[in-house]
Amino acid sequence: MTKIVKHIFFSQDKLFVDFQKQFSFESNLNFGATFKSLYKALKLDYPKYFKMDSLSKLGFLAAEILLQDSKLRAMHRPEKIGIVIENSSSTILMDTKHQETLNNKEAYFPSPANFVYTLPNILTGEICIRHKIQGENVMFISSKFDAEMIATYVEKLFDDKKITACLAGYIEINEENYEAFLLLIENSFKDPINEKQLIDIYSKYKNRTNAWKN
Amino acid sequence: MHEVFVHSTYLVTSLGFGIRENMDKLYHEQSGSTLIHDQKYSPEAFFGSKIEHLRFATEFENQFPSLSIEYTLFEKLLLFVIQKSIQNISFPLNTKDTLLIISSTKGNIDLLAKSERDKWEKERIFLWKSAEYIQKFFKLENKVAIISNACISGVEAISVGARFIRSGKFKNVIVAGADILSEFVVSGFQSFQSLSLEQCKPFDSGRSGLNLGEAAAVLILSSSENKSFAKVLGSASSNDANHISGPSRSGDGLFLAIQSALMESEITANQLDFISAHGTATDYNDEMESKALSLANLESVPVNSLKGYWGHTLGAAGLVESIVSIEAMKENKLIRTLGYENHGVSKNISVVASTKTHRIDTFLKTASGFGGTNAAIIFQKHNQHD
Amino acid sequence: MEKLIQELKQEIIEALNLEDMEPDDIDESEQLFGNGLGLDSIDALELIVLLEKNYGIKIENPKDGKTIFYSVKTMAEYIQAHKK
Repeated sequence: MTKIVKHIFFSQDKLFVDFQKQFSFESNLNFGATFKSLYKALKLDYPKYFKMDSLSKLGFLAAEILLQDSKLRAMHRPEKIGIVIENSSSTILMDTKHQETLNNKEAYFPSPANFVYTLPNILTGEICIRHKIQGENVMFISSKFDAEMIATYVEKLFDDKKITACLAGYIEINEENYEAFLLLIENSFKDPINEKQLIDIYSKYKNRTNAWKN
Repeated sequence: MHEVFVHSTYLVTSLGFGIRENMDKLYHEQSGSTLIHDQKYSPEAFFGSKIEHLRFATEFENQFPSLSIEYTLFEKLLLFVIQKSIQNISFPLNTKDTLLIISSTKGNIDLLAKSERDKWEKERIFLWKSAEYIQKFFKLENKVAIISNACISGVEAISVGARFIRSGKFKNVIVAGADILSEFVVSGFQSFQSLSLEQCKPFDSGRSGLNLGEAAAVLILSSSENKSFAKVLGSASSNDANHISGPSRSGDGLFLAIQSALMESEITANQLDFISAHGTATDYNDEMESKALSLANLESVPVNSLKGYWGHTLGAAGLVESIVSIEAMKENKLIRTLGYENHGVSKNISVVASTKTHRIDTFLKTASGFGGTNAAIIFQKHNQHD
Repeated sequence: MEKLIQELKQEIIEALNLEDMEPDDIDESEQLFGNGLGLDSIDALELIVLLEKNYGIKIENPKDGKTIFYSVKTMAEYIQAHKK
């Protein structure tokens, strides 16, 4: 049995927590500048953040907000906290950057610091390091947010007693836009989470950001 | 709770096509790795493991004589291994009961190169696009699930598939994995200084890095017992939560995954007859694994790494190594860790130094990768009583 | 040498994404790894690329990095001795 404790949505310069708008940023900023404003607004001191690629930065910030004031670490053992993330474009921005260093055979200097970020699960790794999460972790690739996959899989992990808490959601960034939808799910006496619940929350956020845009 | 049975398997590696060809070469201790000097992959020579591309082209053509769509090498490998493996199964594919899971780290990444970019639609670089083509080809009802979790992808894909069957969500899961050699990946590992310039030497004192390889493989899971020769008992993944590229110094992450898999399997460490380790032959990975196995009280259980035969095949690695180890379990054989001569890790683990007969009923397969991620899965022999 | 040290500091800040740091914030004799700037193994590999890219110096054995990259000063000395 599980319950959704908290959820956040961050896209198109707006950040919502449990449907409440928490931050909005100037729309003329590039992604990097927006993420940096959020980092500053959160008053974080985590130098490693600046070494991350934009996908990891996005996931990192989303997890940071989701777990603000959370008792996650006090309530759950590290190996009982899971992280189940979906994404569509894998690490396309960093992939392109790494590929560019290979195009000139006269100046062939691929960067190890870039290459390591060409794996989408580095994002989950960064969140695990920050919040000491050691449980089940997986990176699914899906053309868009797939609530059925997340709901089925997360519920099974709870069912099997593999985890007692879980971060789950969709973290996507590509040339055109970014989107972070992240939920904190914990065991409880309530009914299990289901696909429909996730779709409802997600579409409410989507409608809201689309309304903002127009 | 449904039990999870292993059915048909198939693989293409640098050693050859299909289970028999691969097993024969493994038993004869042949390696598929060579010095590769090809500008397509790298300005500098490197030691790696390539599928025989000409032969693959011919066999693919024989298998699929008239195709209306052009597929990439990565997709062709998946189509081929899936087609080969489903020839031996009795259940229909195109129903709501069957799920395909694809495991890959970089999929069609070779399409990013200048020379390829204009030949394919832009979205072809994404794993879900390849998955859509494959779904269409086999007329599958369900959307394909894709796992891209670095080097544990293959083991984790089997684990996720087993969970879906146990939950009753699906009756059959086809787990397919592939990764190909590309300049993208070779250059990256070179920049990490982790490629060896010779045959890799897992767990050896003289090990000097890994060999990259390419492979594709399929393993079919089902809740149906019929004709199955092995079952999945339990599995787990874990995270070191320590560093994104360096494995844990203590081995605690992998240890957690092994513990969790044992617990789910309802067996204890001393019931394991064999361990198929990740054993990439980098300094830190092999040392970490030895510590994890020691923490789990597994020092005396025979352990091997198959990387000396076909290198590190990334998203396919967990699959090819599971498939071959299941076959070796069936034949009660321990396969030698090619490249291992002198013990070179701090814990006294029992690295298999020569191929020999050994009773195997239950074994553990592990994997670890970038992002601090680890996976463990336990297979058991299943004897048909029909 | 002074000029090289200044250049190096700037290059290190850029290559390793040391956000909000100025060249003057780096003490040239201070340890780069360990307690100093808190750099890690990926940074060490990135410094190897930096030496090759900007100075044409190739470090064949990554283990030599330990002494070469001890501080900005040791790096500068190494560059001066090996620059082509």
